[in-house]
Amino acid sequence: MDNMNESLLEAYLFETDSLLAELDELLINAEASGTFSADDTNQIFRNMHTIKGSSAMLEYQSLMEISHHIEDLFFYIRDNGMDSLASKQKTKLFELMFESMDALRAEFEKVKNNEALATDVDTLTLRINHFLSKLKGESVSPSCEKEENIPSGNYELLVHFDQDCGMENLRAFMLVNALTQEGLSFTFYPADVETNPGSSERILQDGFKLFFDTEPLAKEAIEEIQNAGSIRSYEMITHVKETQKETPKSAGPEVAKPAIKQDLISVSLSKLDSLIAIVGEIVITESMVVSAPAAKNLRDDNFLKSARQLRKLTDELQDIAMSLRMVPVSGVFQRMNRIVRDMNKALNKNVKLTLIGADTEMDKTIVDGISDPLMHIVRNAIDHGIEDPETRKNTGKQEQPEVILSAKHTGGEVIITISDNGQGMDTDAILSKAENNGLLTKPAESYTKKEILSLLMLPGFSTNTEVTEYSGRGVGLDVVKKNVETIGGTVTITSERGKGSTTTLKIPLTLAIVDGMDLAVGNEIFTLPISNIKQSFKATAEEVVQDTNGLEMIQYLGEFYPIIRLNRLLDLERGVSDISEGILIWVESGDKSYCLFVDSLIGEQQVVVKPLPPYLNNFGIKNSGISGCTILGDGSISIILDGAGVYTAFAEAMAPKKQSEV
Amino acid sequence: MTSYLTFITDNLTFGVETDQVIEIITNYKIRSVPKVPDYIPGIINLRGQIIPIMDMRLRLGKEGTPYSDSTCIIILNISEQLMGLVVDSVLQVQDLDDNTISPLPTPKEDEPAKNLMTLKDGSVALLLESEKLVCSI
Repeated sequence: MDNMNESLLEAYLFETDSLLAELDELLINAEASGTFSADDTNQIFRNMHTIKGSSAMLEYQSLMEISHHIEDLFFYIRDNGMDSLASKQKTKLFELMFESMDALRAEFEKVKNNEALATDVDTLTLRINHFLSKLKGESVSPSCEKEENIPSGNYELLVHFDQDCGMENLRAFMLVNALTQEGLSFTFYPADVETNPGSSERILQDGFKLFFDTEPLAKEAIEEIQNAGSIRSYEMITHVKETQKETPKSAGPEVAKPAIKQDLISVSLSKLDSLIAIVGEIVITESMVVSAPAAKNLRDDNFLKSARQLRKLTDELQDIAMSLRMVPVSGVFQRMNRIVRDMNKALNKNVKLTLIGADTEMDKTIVDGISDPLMHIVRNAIDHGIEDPETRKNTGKQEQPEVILSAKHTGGEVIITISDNGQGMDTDAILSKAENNGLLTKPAESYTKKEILSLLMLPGFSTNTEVTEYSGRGVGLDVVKKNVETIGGTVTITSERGKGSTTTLKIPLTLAIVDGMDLAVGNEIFTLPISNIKQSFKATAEEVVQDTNGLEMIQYLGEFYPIIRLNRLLDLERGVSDISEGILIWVESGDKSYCLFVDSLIGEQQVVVKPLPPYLNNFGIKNSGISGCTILGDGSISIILDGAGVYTAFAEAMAPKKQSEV
Repeated sequence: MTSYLTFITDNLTFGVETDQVIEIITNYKIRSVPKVPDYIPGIINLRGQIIPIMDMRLRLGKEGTPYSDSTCIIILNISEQLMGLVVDSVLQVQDLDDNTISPLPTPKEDEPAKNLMTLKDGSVALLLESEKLVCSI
């Protein structure tokens, strides 16, 4: 396998992954409806067939074996229909399928991580076989052997495969496939290589025969055969016959495979990343060129026109480049279906999973990054959030237990919530456990509910250090938090006793482009998303009023708004302090409204959001209203503020002050 | 044999494995970041990458010096994260045998150096453990 082509493997991984994902979804839906429709059966058959073929090509024995047996099973089901199965058998079939899918996934992951594959998958394949033979035995199927027609042609190619290469029928079929793809028309014998494993013996004995009508066709085929693997020898035999029987090519299921993939290509992420990096550079360079002092004084219509055109094109280029990385979260969401299903079986809870906003698009890396945390939270919710049916009955809860998974865009963030209608969290129990583990930093009585819930996510609250199969209230939630933080997000938990809990993941769209307003404080530049800004205005010191805590406020358009001085909030040494010298920006974000005081506005600009170096997250600067940074036209760095975060940071900064004064 | 880059910070000579060194830069504008300890003067834009900067003097609890155009920043790759280290001056690269390295007689848990190495000219340098720089906050 040393000479295995990297790109071949990449293509295999990509294809198999999407096929397995397709099957996962299909299985869940089919189980819900209790049966496999004819389409389902066909699709399973086709997908398994493709997996088998490509796995065989790359010599992944275990994947090939499992998919091969499932294919056999569905070949039978396809011919006889699901109706031939008793309901008990159907349940068994689903169980078997889920188990096989898990096995395939597990093996696939091993391929992906370059680990050794399982050498022995007999236990599973034997059970599939056993099940199949039981099916065959119980229902009298009219599948009589088809008359075998030895096809013929003027030019015969006799192919012998390597001895001991195994699965000759499959290799023959792959050859047939390869030739079909070349657009050659031919017939072959044995014709049932695809479906009848027994044909491999015949191939072993007599060789695999291909028949062509014309010599050029046969010659082309020979070229193809020379490229194919595991072929010991081939020879061309010419029969010249007067009568030619037109034997239609056996219409295998492969032919029926829908060509959905045609307008999709898979690109490696690293190539995409370098593309996006270059586009980012172009955008910056463009604004450097256009805003260069020499260009600014230029009053040349042609230049201005071209500059505008360039601006427009780079904007478009950037939009497209950014959208390339965006994928819907549905893939990850769908995976939760499976978890809910398995847990329902194991815990007998009959939980309904509702997905909202599964088509929300996010950066690919982020979608991958939230998969594990989501899985963990969903498990937690079902395992501990949702009560068992008895308790539910006793507490008089009528509605079906439900876990709602939703994703939505708000400004520069994606908000993912996982809420359940279970029992909610026991804050007292959490507090006492935290106390036992020595995690409390102040007297237990002074903890607010919010603080108690955030205790759950402290490292050391749980004893597990990894996201594992097991969930417990708070087990590994610190890992969830860490995972989410590595992609720049935050986790908050809210809960109401008896009503349920909600976990909210706020995840920034990295790489997102933001329409920002550049602000100056001292000699430093900050960027605030335009979407947060309502208005900006000048004010005089007389208009500012103070409350007893020294909180500054201003009346604007009939309402009072708190004034947040950016230089004080962020402990900046510089920046004007006289209200009349600077400017107030009326910011609204979510339900928070306030006035941000800065030195001056610089101007509007589209900026590419870059996350701050992860190392800086150690200092909790995310909590001070900073969401990232960006590179300005002249190469300097501006720090991007987040409207809601600034308010939160401000409120937190005020809170201890209030306490000490009371 | 391992090669080490040696540099001086506040009269202390340090050595760091060259495998960890990406490059040495001067004359970069450091953008300060609010709400971080004083030993993090800020971040820089290194050809589109945002890299945090750490001041070695302040990190060691010494007196800082103002930055100038000739301030040296060593860009290190510390467990796959880039970090710029402001030092007084960079000396040279030396290939040293592993047996020239000996532990500090009185090691402390959170110090960023645990070992001493004897350089070719007989002087002694502290072997910088860059991971320690970032993990103990």
